[in-house]
Formats: sequence, C-alpha cells, structure tokens
Amino acid sequence: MADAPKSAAPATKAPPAWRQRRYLFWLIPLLLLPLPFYLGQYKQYVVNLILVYVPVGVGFNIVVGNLGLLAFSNVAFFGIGAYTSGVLALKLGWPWWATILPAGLMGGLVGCIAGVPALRGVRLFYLAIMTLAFGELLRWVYIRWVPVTGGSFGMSVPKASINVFGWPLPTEGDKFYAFLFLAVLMVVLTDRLLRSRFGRAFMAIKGNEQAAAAMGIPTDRYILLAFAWGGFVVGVGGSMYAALVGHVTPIAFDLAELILEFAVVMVGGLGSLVGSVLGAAIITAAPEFFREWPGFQEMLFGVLIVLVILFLPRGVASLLARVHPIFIDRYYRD
Amino acid sequence: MQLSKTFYALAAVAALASPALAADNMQGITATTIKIGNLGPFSGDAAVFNPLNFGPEAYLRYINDKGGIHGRKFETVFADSACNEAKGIAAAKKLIYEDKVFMIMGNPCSGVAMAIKPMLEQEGIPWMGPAANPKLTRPTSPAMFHTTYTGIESGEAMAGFALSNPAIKKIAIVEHSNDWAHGYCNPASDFIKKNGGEVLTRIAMERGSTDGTTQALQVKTLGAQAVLGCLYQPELIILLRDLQKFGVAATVVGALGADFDQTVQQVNSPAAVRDKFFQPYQFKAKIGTPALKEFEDMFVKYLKKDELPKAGPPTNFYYFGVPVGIVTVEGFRRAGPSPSREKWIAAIESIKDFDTGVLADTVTFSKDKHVGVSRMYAVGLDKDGKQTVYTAWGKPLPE
Repeated sequence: MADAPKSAAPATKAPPAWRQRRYLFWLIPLLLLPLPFYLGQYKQYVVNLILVYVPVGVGFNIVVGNLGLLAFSNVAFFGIGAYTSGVLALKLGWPWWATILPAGLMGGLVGCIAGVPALRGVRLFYLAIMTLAFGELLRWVYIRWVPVTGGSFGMSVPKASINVFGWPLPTEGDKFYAFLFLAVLMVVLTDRLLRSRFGRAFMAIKGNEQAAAAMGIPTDRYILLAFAWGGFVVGVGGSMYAALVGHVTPIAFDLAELILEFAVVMVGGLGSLVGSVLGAAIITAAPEFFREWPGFQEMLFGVLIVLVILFLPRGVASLLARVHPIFIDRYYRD
Repeated sequence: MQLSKTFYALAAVAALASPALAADNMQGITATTIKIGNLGPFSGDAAVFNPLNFGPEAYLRYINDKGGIHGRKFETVFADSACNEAKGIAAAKKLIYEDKVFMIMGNPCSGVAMAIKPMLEQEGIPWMGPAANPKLTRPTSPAMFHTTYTGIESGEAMAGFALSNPAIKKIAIVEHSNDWAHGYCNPASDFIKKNGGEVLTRIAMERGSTDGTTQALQVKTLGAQAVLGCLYQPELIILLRDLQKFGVAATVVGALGADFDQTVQQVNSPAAVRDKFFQPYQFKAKIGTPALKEFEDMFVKYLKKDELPKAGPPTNFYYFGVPVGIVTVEGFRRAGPSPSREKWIAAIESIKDFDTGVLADTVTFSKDKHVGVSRMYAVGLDKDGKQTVYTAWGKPLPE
C-alpha cells in the first residue's frame, strides 16, 4: 500500500510577525543614526524630546495599559528620576551617565511605594486619586526640601556633568546618540519583560484579576513588579529630561505634565509598546508643527486627541496594525 | 595618496560631527532689518501674560513707522513657550538656530528664562525681558538685562508699602508653591523681618484653586493686619472675595502677577478692594492720565485686534512690557549704524538715568549691574473708589 502523500512543507517559511518585528526594533534606530548630520539644533532638540518621552510612555503603559490599573503616579516617577540625576550631578558632582541607573532605581522604588495602595485592593477612581495625590506629594517635597532640590526655583544641572564616560555631550546631536541608546534599551527590555511569563501574568491580571489569582498567579507580586519596572523606565526618562532641559523645577511635574503623558499613552495606543513610541513622537512633535499658530495650537491639539480616542480607541498603533501585522503587539509565540 | 583620502574623509566626518558654531555677532542684522525674537506664553494658562510681549512689539512697530533705527526696521518673530521649560527651549532654539534672530526679548516666564539662560550665554544671544526671577541677572550674565523689576524689587516694594503704614506690623503671606511666587515673597519676607515687622505665617494657595476659605480663616484667626498675596490673578481674586466674605479687615498687597484693573473689576465688590487692596506700581503716573496717554494711543494704533484686550483699554501689562522695547531700541540707537552684539551690549551698559517715559524709575545699567530699575510706587482705590498712586501709605503721588 502506497504511503499517503505527505503535505508538502513550504521550502522557506516566512518568520512569524512577532519575529519580524524584532528586526524592526533594530532597523528603526539604525535608520535614525544619521539624523544629527541633517537636523539643526532646534529640530534635533525636538527629536531628543521625543526620545525622552519614549521611556515615559513605555513605563506609563505598563501599569495603565498592560496591567490595566488606573494609576496616575507616572509624573512622580518622571520627577524623581529628573531630580535624582539633578541632585547627584549638582550636589555630588556625579557625571550624568552615572546618575541614570540611580534615577531609574529611585523611579522603581517610588513605583513600589505608589503600588502599595493597589496591593491593598484599591482600584479604579480611588487608585487614580491616591496615585495623583502621591505625585502631588512628591511635588510638595521638591518645593519644600529647598537645600536639596533648590525649592520652587529648581536646580540647574551643570553642563559639564552631561557626559558619557567623560565624553561631553555639548550639542543636541551628541545627546541624541545617548538618548537613542537609552530609549531603545528601555523599549527592548520592556519588550522582553512583556513577552516573558511576567508580561503574560500582567495580561491575565488585566483580563480578570480574580481568575488570574485562582489560576495560581501571585497577583500582588506582579502588580508590584509592574509598578517597579514602570517606575524604573520612567525614572530613566526623567534622567534624560534633566540632561536635555538642564533645569529641573517642580512645575515641570504638575498635573499638566501628567495629562501630556497620559495623552502619549492614549494617542499611541493603550497597552501597546509600538503605541508608546508613536504616542511620544506624535504628542511631542505635533505642537511644534502648529507653532506658527499658537492660538490654534491648543485647539488643534485637543481635537487631535478627541479624534484619535473617538475613531481609534486603541490608538494610532491600531491603525498601523491594520497596515501590517508586525505592528500588532503579541505577547505569545505562534 | 591613500593617506590623503583618509585624511579628507576624517576631516569631512569631523566637520559634520563638530558642534554647531556659536551664532555670529551680526546674526539677524541685514542692511534694512533687525530680526528680534519675541518669546512668550501665547498658549496655555499663562497666556494671560502675553500683553507683556505685545507692549514692546507695539513700540517696535511705532519705531518702524517712524523709519526705523539707522535705516533698519525691526522684524519680529514670535515664539510660544507656553511657560513650559521643555517647550520654551524648543521655541528659543527655533528663534536662535532657524529664524536666526539677533536677540530675544519678552519672555515673562521665569522658569523658561532660567532654562534657556545657558543656551543664551553659550551663543552670546542678548536677552531683555520682564521675567521676575532675579537669578537671571544676579550675578550679572554678560548679555542678559532686566529693564523691569525683578522679584526682589517687587517683593520689597510690597512689604515696604505695607510697613509704611505704622499700624501694620503683623503680616501673613499667601502664595503659590512655585518659583514665581517665591521670587516675590521670599524677598518680601526678608524685608519684613529686617524692618521690624513679623511674618505670622506663609500659607500656600495652589494654582487653579477655586476657594480661599482656608486661607481667609487662617488670616483671620492669626489676626494679621496685612496680607501679601503672591498669587496670579484668578487666585488673587478668589482670596480677595473670601477675605471679604469672612469679614477679614486686613490690607492686601498683591504681586505683579495680576493686572490691577482687571482684578478690581473681577472681584466686583467695592468693599473688598477700596482702601484695602494695593499692588506695587511700576509706572510714573496713573494709567489713563495724560502722562501715559501717548502709550495708550500707541498700543491702540499699532497692535492688531487680537493683540489688544477683548474689552476696555490696554491694561497694566502692556505698559509694563513696553520698557523692554524702549530700552532695546535705545541700545540700537546708541550702537550706531553698524550694530553687532558686542556694540549693543556695550550701548546698553552705557545707559544712565534713562527716562523710558513710562516707568516710575529711570534706567541705569553698568557692566556689573544688569538690573536697570528699582524704585516703585503702589496703586489702590482710595476710600471714594478713585484709583490712586501712592509713594507710601497715605501719600498720593501728585497728579
């Protein structure tokens, strides 16, 4: 009896979309490398500002998008990262590159503290208000702890301290490479985390916390991890902000800043890593496009956010996902 | 040959990678124009301060109408800082590197001014503006000038006016928790302590507050005879209303973050403000009087409809902004027909006892002193509700 014909396996199987996307992670920053040769100081500054908001959006999205908790302590992580870098550089004379990790760790520590109410079962608007209050409390500390933070006048980060292993970063173009490296590192590390069992646990908690707990997932531990990692990533963003702006003041971490950061997540795409990057680019660059019409700038900006939320509730990333599957965030293997 | 190719390749890479050269000292100057950057909050909550940008702009247009300075007319490029440091730096970079302005004027937001200060110093770009933070010009920064009062002069004027009433010794401070408010109230507090007064308390009232009950009741409980309000206009109005509501009789001296006329109008209660609410006053005469009429006419003639108040005549901030334009132009006049940054700075530093025609004080700069003015008066409504300028408590400025 002749063997039944075996189905012919394709000679070359295209890699699945999630694997293609990994190549893209490296392709995009590589394509960006020559930018400083083409951009002037102003446009390069705007690009650098986008890179600052990439980790800010990524970190915020972990808690709000991936974990699904209505927590608004992001601006606290951002501020503590900026202040940690500022204080270490100004008071202790550390070079900026050496302050990045402490800024991230302080962000992570503050993330753990901000996550405590969530461990106590506080959810929804109650958690939102508590985390908002936490951000304001930290702002109060920045204002009142004058000997360390410089109070309401803030502190200027010494220009000489902004270097990487002694290599100074005097121009926006120089800063760009350091910022690009940090932004890519934060995205890649977060991507790895989200694709691991930790990330899948976040998704399970977001889907149904009780069911996740019933399945043996230690939800408390994962919630704390999400807050801590989110805080770390945003803290690194804060350190980048301190190096870019060079002046850290409490008013930079107020409610308006929180709204801006929330807009990064909402416009980019809730729970989407691609969305966090896109959101950072759109929210940071859009006002610059409207700069010539300052009266209309706020209105157009508001309309943009409303339109995206109305017609693209999963953010601009969902629009790209329709174009090509590599833009779909998938946290499981095919 | 191979070495030569390598050398040129390396040289090309080095040239591309080298930091941008500092702006040249004639940037923004052509045979017929002088390009000025006008940086300010044209969007966001702080847009209420943008008359401080339009005041000097009106003067530049007036000068242009008269034929300009040494054959050159002023060309202004506006840039919105939104009173946010990150956006302000972007705006200033656009002005310096893309629009290639000669100098930046305006910029009432202290945080933004401090954030752009290192860039201005690095590029040698002159700055003249009304931002109140004294750290901008103390210690002296080579190209930065205050031709309006900083927080130190204004704060001391607030405290000085309150203490000029012999019956006032116990003073409460109500302030925002930001650099602007502390820029006024810290020097005010020091002045009170040094001059025999007592600071009973410093109470925070945050931006966006819609109720001043807590602050009013604390002032009442402590028995303060005067309140210094380092508050922006909306919160100052709320405080004045609530002090009246709870029957607090204390004198209130506001900071320069509020427009006097608008504040009085919006409090909409004569009893809350008559002979009770005062502000430091920067001008040589009362707004609306013949001494300042030429400026009102200038604002109305040279500003566009959307640059003027929606209703009523130009307010205090227009007049407060205009010396920035007047002194900037005077610098160009003195710098001669071939101005450069160095010549303009030297010209400004040569100004002595210069009467702007609008400020209470004359302007004097030197190489070591880049804050041009110090003397201030106070403004308030007398018992009959007539707006009066005082040199001290109970001493009206002769009209």
